[in-house]
Amino acid sequence: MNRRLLSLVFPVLTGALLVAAWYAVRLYLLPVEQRFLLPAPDAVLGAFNTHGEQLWAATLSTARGAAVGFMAAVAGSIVFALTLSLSPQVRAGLYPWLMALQLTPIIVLAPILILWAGPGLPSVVIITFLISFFPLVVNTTQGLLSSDRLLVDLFRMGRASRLQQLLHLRIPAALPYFFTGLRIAATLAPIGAIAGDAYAGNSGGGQGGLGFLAVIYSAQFQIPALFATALVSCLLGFVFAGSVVGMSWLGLHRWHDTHSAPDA
Amino acid sequence: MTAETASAAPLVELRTLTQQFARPPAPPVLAGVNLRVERGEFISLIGASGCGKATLLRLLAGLTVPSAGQVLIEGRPATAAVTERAFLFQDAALLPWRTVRHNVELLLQLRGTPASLRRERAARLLELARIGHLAHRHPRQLSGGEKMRVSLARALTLEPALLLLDEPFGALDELTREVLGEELLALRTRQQWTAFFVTHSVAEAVFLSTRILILAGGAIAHDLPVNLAFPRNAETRESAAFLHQVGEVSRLLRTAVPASPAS
Repeated sequence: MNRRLLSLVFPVLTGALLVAAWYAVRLYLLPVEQRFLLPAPDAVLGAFNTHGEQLWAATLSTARGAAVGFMAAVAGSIVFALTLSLSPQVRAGLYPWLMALQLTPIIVLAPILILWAGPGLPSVVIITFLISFFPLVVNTTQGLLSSDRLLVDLFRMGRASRLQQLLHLRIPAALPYFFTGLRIAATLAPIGAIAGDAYAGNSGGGQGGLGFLAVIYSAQFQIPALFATALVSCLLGFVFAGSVVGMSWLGLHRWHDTHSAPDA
Repeated sequence: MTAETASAAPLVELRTLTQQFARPPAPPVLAGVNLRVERGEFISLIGASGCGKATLLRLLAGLTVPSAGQVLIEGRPATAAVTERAFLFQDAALLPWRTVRHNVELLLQLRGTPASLRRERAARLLELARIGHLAHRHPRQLSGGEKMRVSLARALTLEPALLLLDEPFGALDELTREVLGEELLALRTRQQWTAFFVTHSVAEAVFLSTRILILAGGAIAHDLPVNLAFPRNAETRESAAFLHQVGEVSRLLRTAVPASPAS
């Protein structure tokens, strides 16, 4: 069978199996009095009807926070990575603090940030930024520093200036690494935003994001709506990851192996 | 060519050149090498691995600073020389994100050559290297031989006076290697560069060179002229004179290798 067709058919097939298993667990494994813990797939879809508007508004709110934080992290990480690539001294001076920031759990930092930035969108953006920043910086810096030695010699022989070497060698050579960081960060950004608004609560008064909604639904014991929130969060993750894969394809497919069809 | 009238100094002169990487109990890679090379020579460097061939190329390129002695290019130290030099590495060393044409234009671009002139010169060299039809491909779509042709075209864009070749055809199959060797000689009749060619193949060295240097123990063990008429072609490879010289160089290469307990 055609490989492309295969990659479409199999996820659908496994998805159908999962839904079937879901119904089966609910009907045959759970005692009747516990069935409310695992609402049926149709009940979850029903929650979209009853809570649709709320979910949609929350999704937009979270998406906005995630997108702004993510883009800020991308921009910030490029500047930071270029700075780190300047010299070993700069790296030695800054890297430990970058590590320290990464190793401090965001769950501990979040309340502090909310104290400073206030609840709502600003805190969500900052938390998303912090969670996306590290993989971007580490990968991009690695890329900027790992140009082929022969190519570096070639540029030296060509009497290239440092700026020329950066523009025509180091930056393009760093692109595959940058996109790797981008993919990791794109999967983390929505998670960061959702964790962020679970803490930072409703943004701008009125409507909170998906994390906030999850907290509310859980408190109100609205289990089908809680499942619906999970489903929407997951879809948001796919949108982020997918758009980044698209960007990566645009940047790399002509010359790099990342996007060539795998053999065998 | 214009720049070659100015100075009376030889193109390349090595004066008691010594290169030491490890600390003194270890032997130097090059130990007091003296050499004079005039314009137009095609020199092959052969010798066992680690005999300093590649190091010598890097010194000539100005990529490495000598530990002692001098590397003079037209009378100036190699690291400060203005003489145009080009390096062909073992690997084609192409920028994978650039098309063939833009790869060939790279060195001109670094020098600030205007785009129109750049394109014109790249196009001419692509034709000379017989890869005009590949101009818009990316390196990963090319064979090993084609990549090397791109690398060669790029090297020649600056009209170098000195071409430094570090086993450029080492990774290619025998046939491609012979064809590229013949084309390298054909290019040499159009652009008058001088070549230092590092190789492990005695036949390749004899076929291409006007002079062969056998390196051993950090010194030039043998300095041999190659007296075969140009143009050289497939017939040359079958001639008695060629085969005789290959045999002689091979014999000298064997005896030149210093007996070392390590290998």
